[in-house]
Amino acid sequence: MSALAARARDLLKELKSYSSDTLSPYNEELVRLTFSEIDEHNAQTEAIVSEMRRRQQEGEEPQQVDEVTATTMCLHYECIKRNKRLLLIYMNERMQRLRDMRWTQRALPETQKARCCQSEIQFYNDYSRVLSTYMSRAEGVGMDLTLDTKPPKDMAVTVRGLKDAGEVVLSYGRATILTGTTISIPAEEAEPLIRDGTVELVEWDDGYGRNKQ
Amino acid sequence: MADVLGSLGQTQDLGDDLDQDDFQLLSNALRNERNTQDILAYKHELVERVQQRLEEQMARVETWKEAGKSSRPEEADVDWSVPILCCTLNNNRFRYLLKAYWRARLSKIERYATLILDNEELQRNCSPKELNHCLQYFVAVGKCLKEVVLARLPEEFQTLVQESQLTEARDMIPAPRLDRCVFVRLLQDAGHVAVDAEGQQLVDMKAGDIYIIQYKLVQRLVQQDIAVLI
Repeated sequence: MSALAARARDLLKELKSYSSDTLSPYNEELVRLTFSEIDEHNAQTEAIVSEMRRRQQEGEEPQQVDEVTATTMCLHYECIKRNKRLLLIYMNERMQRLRDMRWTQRALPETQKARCCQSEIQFYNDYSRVLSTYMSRAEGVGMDLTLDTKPPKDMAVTVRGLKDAGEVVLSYGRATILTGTTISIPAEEAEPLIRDGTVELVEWDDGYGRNKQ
Repeated sequence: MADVLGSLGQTQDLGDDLDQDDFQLLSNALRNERNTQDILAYKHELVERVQQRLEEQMARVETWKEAGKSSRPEEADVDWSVPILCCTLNNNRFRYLLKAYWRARLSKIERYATLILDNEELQRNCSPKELNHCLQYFVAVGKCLKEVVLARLPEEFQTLVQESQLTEARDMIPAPRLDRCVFVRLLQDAGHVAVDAEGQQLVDMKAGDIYIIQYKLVQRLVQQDIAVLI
């Protein structure tokens, strides 16, 4: 047995080494090894317990558990608990990141999807459905909460095209977005375009420190 | 904003404009939500009022836009663009506040979903929609954790709310930390408030005072809107 609960800790370290808006590939192997470590702890605990039962049945008078056995059992018990917590933290953090992706990107990017295990994809779909219900007009508040994340400053913002997106339909009509062209569009409609990387916000300063986004 | 429109002689059209009070109340509510981990009571009346007026205002802007398009030549001197601009800006501000308020609550509700489902008092603080979301969210999270982790553990460790079934207490339910220090400003005189755990030391809190204090000591004041977190 390697250092206690080291594998589960490695899982977390690996996840942490990825920036908080991406997932690390789901580490099936390490998770499996952690479970086998837990099983080992469990088997050893059970072995001690059955040994004690056997002795009791053989008519030996119930003696005090000696210190070594007690400590061993405690240690196994604590190790299982620690591993359990670490695994739950690992999953919890991954789910948090999936959750954030739902808020910022609307759909799960393919690159991230490839790094999820089946249950996580299921969770993402479930969460997406739950959140849509909350934001729906029929059963929820009737507003898309993933938009309007910044306090509004102006009716319109100036954006610069980052790729040739062609014609987009906006509330006041159509606009053509080409690389390098700048257009002024309503602030709430700019947000999804900025997010998916079609345009970037043009920041400009009117000399009085205003208009900085 | 009323001044701008007043000079244009358009004030009578505004009628029951979203007044400053609701804006202030909603910003206070948002600030409170953001500054504490506590699940505060949902402001049903305020949200409903703001939502209703927001819809009215948006409808009004639409009619102004229509009027602007169809105006006959003799009415061409009536310029609708300024009222439309002002009103839309104002609507955007309110919409942002409302959304931010819901967002702030939702993220806390998701974080403490287990605790809320366990505690009826906290459930009363949530709107029915939020409660429904809380439940659904908990089901989704629980399902995933169960599939990946819990079901593969030894039997006595399979519960989500306890470390193991050998311990009595439910020791794995995350709870908000109410002993964190917060900045708080008094909106009205609060009289003598105990500022230590034993209730020995009293401070006379007056309107406008600002304190840095543990949240749980002023929790009551914040809940009753006597004080606001800043």
